[in-house]
Amino acid sequence: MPEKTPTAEAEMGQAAEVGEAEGLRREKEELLTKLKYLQAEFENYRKRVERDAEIVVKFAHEALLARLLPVLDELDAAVGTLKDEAGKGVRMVRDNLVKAMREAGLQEIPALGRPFDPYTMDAVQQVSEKDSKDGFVKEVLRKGYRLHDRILRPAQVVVVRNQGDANG
Amino acid sequence: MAKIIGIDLGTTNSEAAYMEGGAPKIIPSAEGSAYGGKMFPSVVAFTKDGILVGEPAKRQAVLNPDKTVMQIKRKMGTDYKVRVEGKDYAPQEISAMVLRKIKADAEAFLGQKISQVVITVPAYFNDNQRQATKDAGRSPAWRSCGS
Repeated sequence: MPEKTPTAEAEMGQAAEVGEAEGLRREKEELLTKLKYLQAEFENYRKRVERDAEIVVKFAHEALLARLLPVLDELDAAVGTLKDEAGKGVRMVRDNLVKAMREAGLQEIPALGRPFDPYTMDAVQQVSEKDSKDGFVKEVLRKGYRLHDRILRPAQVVVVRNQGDANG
Repeated sequence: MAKIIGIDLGTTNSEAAYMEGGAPKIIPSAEGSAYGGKMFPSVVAFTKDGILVGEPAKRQAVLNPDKTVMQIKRKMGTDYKVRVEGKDYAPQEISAMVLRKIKADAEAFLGQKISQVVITVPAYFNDNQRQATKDAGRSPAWRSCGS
């Protein structure tokens, strides 16, 4: 086995140093890539949290309003059925509720007599009627509501369909 | 590195989620309502105004039953074709439309492009059905994360 000369030892030492430096450089690159990824991720997360916070404030009443819609439906039905003083009283209660819900951002989706829109309406029935326009809403079975730009509940509608496909 | 989302491509409804801070978060559909939920109905409709996918497609199904495709997952991996206006669509093409819609809504929700996806298949799916699901996932130019 040949003896190691001082020059060979120095060369080996140098090679080890080069190898170590290469390893460290790779590690640095990996960490830098990871850092950049985390930075981008955090930036996206920050933007999303900001947006989410705005949405939470804007739609704070959403769940409550959605739960009050069946109550409003019942009051609407009662107003349609009750006559005289009782009807008047229920109408006043209903109007007050609607006023409060409107102030919280609730808007009714106009549907009757309009063209059917699948983004805001839910077609549950179709009728054939010569005097009405094809693809238009003939009757609203349940009112639809939106909160700002979000659909809280689509309007359930009956649509006129005289020839072919109303929508297709 | 872009976000990877997970999609449960269901027979009736589909759902999407992503990981944030080590926990999964649901991605809502753009038309989801407080009343109807945030899912993506697995429904595709061909209308005179174009193709509708998800909630709007479901809402017009009564008026347009011949051109509204539902429950296509049941036909995945078979030779079944949906014929609409003289054109044949394979089940994976219809599923791809659902996936594209989910992708678009997820990108809008997350504010970034999504290039990778994990799609669920039932444990009982055979190789054909799994392959059809993968093909559906490949169509909208996504990269599959493995099988």
